[in-house]
Amino acid sequence: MKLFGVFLLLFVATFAISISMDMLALGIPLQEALANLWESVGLEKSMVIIGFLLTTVYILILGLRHKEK
Amino acid sequence: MGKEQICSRQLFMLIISFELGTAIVFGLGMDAKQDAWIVILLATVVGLLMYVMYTELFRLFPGQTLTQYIPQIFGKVLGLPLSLLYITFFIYLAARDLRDFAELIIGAFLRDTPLAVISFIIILVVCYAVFHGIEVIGRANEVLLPIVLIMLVLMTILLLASNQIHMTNLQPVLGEGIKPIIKATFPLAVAFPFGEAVVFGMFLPYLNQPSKARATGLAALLVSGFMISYTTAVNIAVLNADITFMANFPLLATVRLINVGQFIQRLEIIAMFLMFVGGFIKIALFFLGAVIGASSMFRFPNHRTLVVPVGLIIFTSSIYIARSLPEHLEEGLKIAVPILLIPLELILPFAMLLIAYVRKWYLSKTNNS
Repeated sequence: MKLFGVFLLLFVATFAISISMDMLALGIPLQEALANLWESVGLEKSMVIIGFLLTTVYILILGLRHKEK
Repeated sequence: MGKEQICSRQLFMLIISFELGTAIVFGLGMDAKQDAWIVILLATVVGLLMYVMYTELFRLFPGQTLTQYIPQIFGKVLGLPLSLLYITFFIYLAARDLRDFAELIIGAFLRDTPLAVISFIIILVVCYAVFHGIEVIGRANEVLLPIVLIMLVLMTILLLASNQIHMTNLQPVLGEGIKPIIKATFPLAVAFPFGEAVVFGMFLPYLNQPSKARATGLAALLVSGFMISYTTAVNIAVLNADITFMANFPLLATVRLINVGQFIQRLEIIAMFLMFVGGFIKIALFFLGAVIGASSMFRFPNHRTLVVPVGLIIFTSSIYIARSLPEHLEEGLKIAVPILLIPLELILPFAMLLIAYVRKWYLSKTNNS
């Protein structure tokens, strides 16, 4: 649970930096920057979603193994 | 710290590979045109001063990483968010470097391959290295760096043999005075790549002889500064200042011109190898710095637990960081430098050093009284 929390915290923090850099570089508001994130190519979006799910499963397995011990 | 240790020779070689990393890929200081090589030498001098600052902090807080002594300096309320900011900063820089190298491969060779596929393959290799820790990365670099140096010498010999080096392209030296050089040096050339050595604040506690941290690092920065300056001078001498400025990857363009007797040609592999070793080490060190920081901050038994989650964050943000290479470069060179790099590489460490000195002075005064 802690690992998942840290993962989410770092995920949100890194994306906050990326989005704010995007907003400053392109001079666009937050809503548009968030929309840009979602409008990526299909394959990239799929890979990211699959990666996110696999990481979640990995963290769950780690958590279960830790509980067993 | 853990059982892992690196010797001063490994630190020396790691710093060289780290500094060469992306700096050798992109043309640095090109706003000063044919004097760009002087810009890099000047930036090296400032980089040396910044490294002295980082090692001074390490001397004041021996055996501790950057993210461990920040809460001691600023207190927990301000220090913990600042430590988290540094961890995120290292993840962000790793993502930027990953994107640089994925774009390099797409631009130079695999034009139709999706960005995500290339980034994924690179991050897999880096994850493996980071999983095994600083000692393994240091040893791998001991094998790779000598090959890089041989490639650099080979590149010069082949360019000379191809009759492509035109020293007139480097003239007039200081043609427009010192002003453009100063302008190109501050803040860009200082923050990137020399200020990025702030990440070594995460690895200095792993040095088996901590007293050698400063001398080793300074020597490595000096050598890498000369090497980057030399490569830039070769690029300009071969391509001329305008083409070097316009090329996305000047080193690759330079190497493409090697042609000895219509026989030895198409040696892009030399440039790719140089870029890749540096890139691999740079991404791995930022990645490792982030996981070491996060594991100590959130009290995980070792850094390995965090490798997969942080690897995914780096992979994801490298894709979403920008929609195109020009946007990525614009963000990295014009926006990130004043907003992120200068505050986190220069202003904050300087403030930390100042507070640490004042606190030390105050404590010694109260102890005496």
